[in-house]
Amino acid sequence: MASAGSGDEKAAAAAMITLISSDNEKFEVTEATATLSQTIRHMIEDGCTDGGVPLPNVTSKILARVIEYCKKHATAAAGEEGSSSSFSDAAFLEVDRAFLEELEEFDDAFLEVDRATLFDLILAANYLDIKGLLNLTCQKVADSVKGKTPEQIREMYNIVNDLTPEEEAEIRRETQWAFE
Amino acid sequence: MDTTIFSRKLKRKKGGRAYRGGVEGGSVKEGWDLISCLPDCIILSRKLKRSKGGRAHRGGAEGYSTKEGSDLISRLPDCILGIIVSLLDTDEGARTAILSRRWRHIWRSAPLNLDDRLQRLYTDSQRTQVISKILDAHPGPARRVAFRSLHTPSSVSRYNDWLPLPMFDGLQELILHLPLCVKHPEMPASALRFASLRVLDIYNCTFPVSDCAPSFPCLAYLSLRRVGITEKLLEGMISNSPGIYAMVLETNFGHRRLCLSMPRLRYLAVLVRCFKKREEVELDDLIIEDASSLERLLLHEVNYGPSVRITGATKLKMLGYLGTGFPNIQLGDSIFKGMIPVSLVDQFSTVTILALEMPEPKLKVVIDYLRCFPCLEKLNIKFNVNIWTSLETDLHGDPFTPNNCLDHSLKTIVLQSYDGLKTHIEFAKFFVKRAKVLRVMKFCCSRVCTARWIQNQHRRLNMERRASRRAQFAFVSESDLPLKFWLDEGFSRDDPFIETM
Repeated sequence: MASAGSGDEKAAAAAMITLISSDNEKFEVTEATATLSQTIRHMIEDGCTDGGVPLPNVTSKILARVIEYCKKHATAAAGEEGSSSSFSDAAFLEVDRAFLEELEEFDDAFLEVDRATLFDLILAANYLDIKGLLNLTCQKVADSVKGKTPEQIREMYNIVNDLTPEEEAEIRRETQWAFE
Repeated sequence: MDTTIFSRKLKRKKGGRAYRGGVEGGSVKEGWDLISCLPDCIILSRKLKRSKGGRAHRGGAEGYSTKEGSDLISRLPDCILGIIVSLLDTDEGARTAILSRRWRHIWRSAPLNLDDRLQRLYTDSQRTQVISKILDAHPGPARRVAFRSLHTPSSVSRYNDWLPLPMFDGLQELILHLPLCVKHPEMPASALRFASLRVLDIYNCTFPVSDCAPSFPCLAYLSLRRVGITEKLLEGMISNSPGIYAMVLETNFGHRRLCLSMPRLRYLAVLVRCFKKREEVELDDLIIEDASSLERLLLHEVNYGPSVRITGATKLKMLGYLGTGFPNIQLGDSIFKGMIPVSLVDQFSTVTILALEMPEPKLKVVIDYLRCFPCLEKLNIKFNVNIWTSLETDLHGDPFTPNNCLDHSLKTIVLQSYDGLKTHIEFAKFFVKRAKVLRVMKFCCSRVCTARWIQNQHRRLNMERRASRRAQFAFVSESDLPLKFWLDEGFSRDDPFIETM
């Protein structure tokens, strides 16, 4: 009985999900990879993934990168989840450590993209609800504006200042301490 | 996953990584490339749209709009701009309000990162006023609070007013450093009310008396320095916080013996930065059982440290400085008494970096260490005269028997406070002659290194006859080394044992 149960679990873990990008490209991924996205996880739980999951907000180019990220991080996440149920603590730690350094290197390399791609990754991470990817990419943007003046940030990101001088004066007045 | 993120954050402190490549570099070119590959009509329509100012708060994940004009960051929804802003310093975050109309309300709607280490210099009363203004201006919730810049007891007492505020209920990071003063400050009782904490960093205060140990189920990083806390409370707090993976214990008091089981702990620093034995009850014995994740055991003492016993550290990678002030360091069944190996039962083949602090060069002692750590890649030895002067070893290892470490793994040796005199030369010569795969040997000299002196050292160290032909030898003057405390970045650097002044 027990062995039959675990066999079913294995079969479920190996189940494949089809993701369909906005430009209609299909990606086959394991359920473990796909469920790093909370959005997709909920879809699976609701049983609405037959025939593929359309992701009209994500292009194939970005989806391919997101899947690359999820594949890499899925195994570590599997270990983490396992620790609370079937795995012993020691087994979890084994998995955790083995991946940690490799993951950091992977993440570093993963972030070496142009700005448009970075923002698209952020949007996709937000839409697909992938917390780790969202944190990673937002930190990258935050690091890029650290130590810059508002003028430098505007220039860097081509932000058009559409505040009237009165509005600007008002903001400076409201948060005077930040501009002193 | 969260811990992964946190360790990345720790690492980022190194500085080198944060600004590397990508986003800033080549920004103009990226912008132009993007625009040039768009059909004219799109560029025009975007431009028109922008001039109408109708773009604000569009939000949503619109992956297909990648090729929009160049104000790319405004494509991100408010909630994401909020995440980015809350990762900035407090004043920097608030200043983003002035970027444009779209950005005006982002800081207020994002979780607050309140750090009283503001860019401008303030007196205490000015600073408390600014903090009050921030708390008035921001509706909360707060993600992170760092109170560490107030100096007078009267302004510090304001913490009792601020910390109970509901906006701090879901706080994730708390950094609370109280000022040094004659009477050891009491910790505000409300500082321990945040069950959601992931980072807790407390400096210089005494925990309130309580029978009930606080519990932090999400805690990943715990730093207690110059903190007064009873044995029962500290042990209880740590066992109630099973996720801790990085911990700093420095010059704390109020407890004599700690026995902790921490199977998730990866980084541990134990420090005593006090020259004399103090009057308070101090930590004499630290026992970590089941340290099965421990990778870094970083130790520092000036003259007196506690005894440390670690069991189950099968993943240990970095260890040191083992110094004479630690009465007893026990790893598994191997015992180092005042840094002298007295019982070498285990071989720690996972350890690749070892740091020793010895009052005088004692080759026999070091050779015993090499036997105990057969896969060392880096050996860092600091010569430091302290109240414990002589080192005698009872183990009689023959320096000429084959040694795995010298023959196969040891690539880097650093000698700190090297004086270039006879005993130091004899000590160093052994490694020049025996370390077969040596790449770098670095001498941090307590004197000025002139070219002539270095040449003379080369000759006296017999470098012509070195065992490793690839070995390079570097001499630096210690006065040229950075003036900082090595352990400040002990968890974030790849090699924690950096040479300092």
